[in-house]
Amino acid sequence: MRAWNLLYVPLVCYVLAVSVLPLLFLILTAFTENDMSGAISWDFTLANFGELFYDRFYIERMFYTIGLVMMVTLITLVIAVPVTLAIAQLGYFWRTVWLVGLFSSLALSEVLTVYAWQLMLAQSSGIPGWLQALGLIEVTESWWPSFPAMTVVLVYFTSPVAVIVLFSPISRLDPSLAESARTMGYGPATIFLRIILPAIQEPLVRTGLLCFMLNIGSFVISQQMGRPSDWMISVFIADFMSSFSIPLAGSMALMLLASVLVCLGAIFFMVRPKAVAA
Amino acid sequence: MKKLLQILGLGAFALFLYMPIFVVSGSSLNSSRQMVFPPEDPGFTWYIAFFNDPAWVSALTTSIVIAVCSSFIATTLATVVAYLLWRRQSRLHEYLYRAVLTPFLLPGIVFAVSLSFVIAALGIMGTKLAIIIGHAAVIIAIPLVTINLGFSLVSKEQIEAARTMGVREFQLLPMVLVPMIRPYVLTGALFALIISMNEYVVAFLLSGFSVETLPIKVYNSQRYGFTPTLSVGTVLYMTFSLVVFTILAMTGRLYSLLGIEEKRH
Amino acid sequence: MSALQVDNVEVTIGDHAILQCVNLQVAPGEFVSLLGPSGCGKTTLLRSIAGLQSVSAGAISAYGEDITTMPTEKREFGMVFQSLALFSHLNLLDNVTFPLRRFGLSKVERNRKGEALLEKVHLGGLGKRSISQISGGQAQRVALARALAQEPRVLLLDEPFSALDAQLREELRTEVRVIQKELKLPVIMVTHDQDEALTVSDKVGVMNAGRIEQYGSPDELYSTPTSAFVADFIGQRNHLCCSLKNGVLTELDSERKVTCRGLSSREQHQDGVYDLFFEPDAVTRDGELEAELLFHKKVGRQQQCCARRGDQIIWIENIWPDLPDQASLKFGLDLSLCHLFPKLG
Repeated sequence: MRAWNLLYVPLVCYVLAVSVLPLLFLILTAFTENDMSGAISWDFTLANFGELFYDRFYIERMFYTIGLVMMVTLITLVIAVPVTLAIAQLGYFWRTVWLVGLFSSLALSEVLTVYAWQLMLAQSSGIPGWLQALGLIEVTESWWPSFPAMTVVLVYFTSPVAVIVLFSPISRLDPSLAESARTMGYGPATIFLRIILPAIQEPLVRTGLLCFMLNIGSFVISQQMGRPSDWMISVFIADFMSSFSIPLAGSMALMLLASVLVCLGAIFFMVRPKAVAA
Repeated sequence: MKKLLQILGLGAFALFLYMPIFVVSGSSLNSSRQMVFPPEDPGFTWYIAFFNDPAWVSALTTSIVIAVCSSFIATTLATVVAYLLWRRQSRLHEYLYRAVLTPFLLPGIVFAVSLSFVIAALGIMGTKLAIIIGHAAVIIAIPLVTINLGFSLVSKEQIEAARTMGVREFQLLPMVLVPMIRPYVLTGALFALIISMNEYVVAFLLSGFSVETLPIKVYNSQRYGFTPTLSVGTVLYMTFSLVVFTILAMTGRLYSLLGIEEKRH
Repeated sequence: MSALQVDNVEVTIGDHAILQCVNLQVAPGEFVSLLGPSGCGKTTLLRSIAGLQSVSAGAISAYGEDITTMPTEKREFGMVFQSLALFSHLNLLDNVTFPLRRFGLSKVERNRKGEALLEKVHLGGLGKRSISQISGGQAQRVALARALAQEPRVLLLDEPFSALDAQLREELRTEVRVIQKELKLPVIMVTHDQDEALTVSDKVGVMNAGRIEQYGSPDELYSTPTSAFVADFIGQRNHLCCSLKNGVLTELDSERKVTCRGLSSREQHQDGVYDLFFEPDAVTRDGELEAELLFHKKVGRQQQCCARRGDQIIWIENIWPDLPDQASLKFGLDLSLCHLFPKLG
């Protein structure tokens, strides 16, 4: 048994290196002038935040980002729930085909996804081009970058994830719940709203949170498919990193993290009372 | 009626998911530099060009090397964590489990930025090692979930039955546990590998302009206009994923990625 | 020398005394059942015998050798668990031959023995199937074959048939008994199904609250229960509280006379309050006891009535000709077919 205890050494080193230190350094860069290229100074200051909050631009961007990602998450869930319900009712073969397709789609890099959509929405080679060739519409430019394009690709990116995560709880739903409701005379809409949705409310919240976290942490889709006025705050963080404005990047990343935690906290407070009352 | 709606709905969703892939695949078969769909004069010209271009081959190789290493590290660590958690269930181990999962749970850009500070402080910015560490930290969640599932399916009674059959304490691991969790380890490792190959944000921030994985190269190349070589990369990656997941499906291991043990109906 | 001996064993977990002062002796080749309601400690006793549960006091020995502190791995007891605990990653044959791995046999030898065992449990030729492809009854047989593979000195069964339907239960328990007799293997089986225990066992131990209330042959338990608990548990018996005064037995609540025959038989009872247990066929036509008929049970020659007495449901033999669907019944009891126990407390 003693031998097993040796395993804790590399484990703890690993956890310190990738879970603890990064957060500490984040706080350090946010509250100091360090740019992580020389000696570390320990002069804590709020100068970085002063720069960020100088005008309301970044604050507005933060609210915009959170609102946008919430909307995308909602759309994703609205699509994912019926899709997952339908897939769960398929036979073994088709269910497996769907899962293979979903996993492969989910695994695809956001860079490659963005590239694929840029082709699809391009004036010459994509959908606009075909519609023009069919004489249906006149196109003067590609459909990207634009707000709808960005939103569509954001939904595209997280919907396979949502379906996969919802697959397990939905396929575990007891069919006799819906069946007993039918014997009592209820129709499919009522059954869906009153029986199925409440039964999966906890997995739904979990899935929503996962999609929220996934989208809020990526910048490629927003940067490539949206115009600068559509950019999420993560794009600016990446930008600061590329231009070596380390302290600003650190403070903005910390701000993003803090906002996300506040949102999570708010959601927990909203969901907990329901769970307790139920 | 309901069935028809369901089939139509699923069809629409499938179209939505795979239409872009289809378009990209088609464009990769163009013979000229034009990115037209349907492809004019289809052929494998650009596939040959891709494999003849040392920059692209290097990017692909770099991605694969990083993926194999990070997946190996992540899977090994995940096995250890999962085993310790199963063996000695305690609060402390739960905290360890959550600490290991933290990088995955953070918003991607936040973790990548924070980790880059640590990497810079360690002086290994811009190396393959840095990206391997970064990827391992994020993808470890995957084998952790699958191997945890594997361990959870080992019942106390199976261990007790083995003991009644004369299996000694030190034989339990090799004779009983390893065969039982091996498939879950492999499944987790493969999925982690694929995610690492495709990962962009962490790789981008830790690459320091000296390391180029395939996603990084695709991103950088986009500003120079599209060529079918970009599509070739996409098609290669997509095909690899489809093949791996199909193999996992055929060996019945796919469902363990969902965290469920599924019986064939 | 007994195959297995349990002497004054106590098992305490935390503050709870799960087993108190348990004594048991199993002769070689004997089939013993441990019977009792949930929570009576029968599974704990079995697990203590297997070595999976440590005992707080007392001793366990097998064939004269003290095994109280011997680890499970060395005891050479085969065990079938309630959940079967089959290895889902191995096929049937590999499951059955798993215990043989430590004997240094070649793979061919192991497989040969495994095939023979599968034949014995009527699963011959199915060795290559995987666990997910077999039925509940087949899985049971695999678990049994696996437990027998190491040629154990004692076989332990923990509610082995609880997950099976009635017909399969009967089939399998008969098969187990046949194999057991063939191999002359001592078996200890835990069950809550008294029919099962009484059918296949040489001896049955009825357990209650951590103790063995009575240990004897099925017939002994049935005909001469030594406590109210055993009398109630074994057989399909109805219960009556009554008081004996000056040789007259009356029901406690209604003051009606219980019987008019058989009182002065066998034992002498003192005046006092008693628990009376009677079988359905102990009823007689003449008597003062009343019940309200609920419904009949007519299956072949079995004719019974389900009746209500106050808030109690009783089953009695239909001794009345042409009984309508609703009736008030009056009956007495033949005491020679009843069991009386002084009420405690």
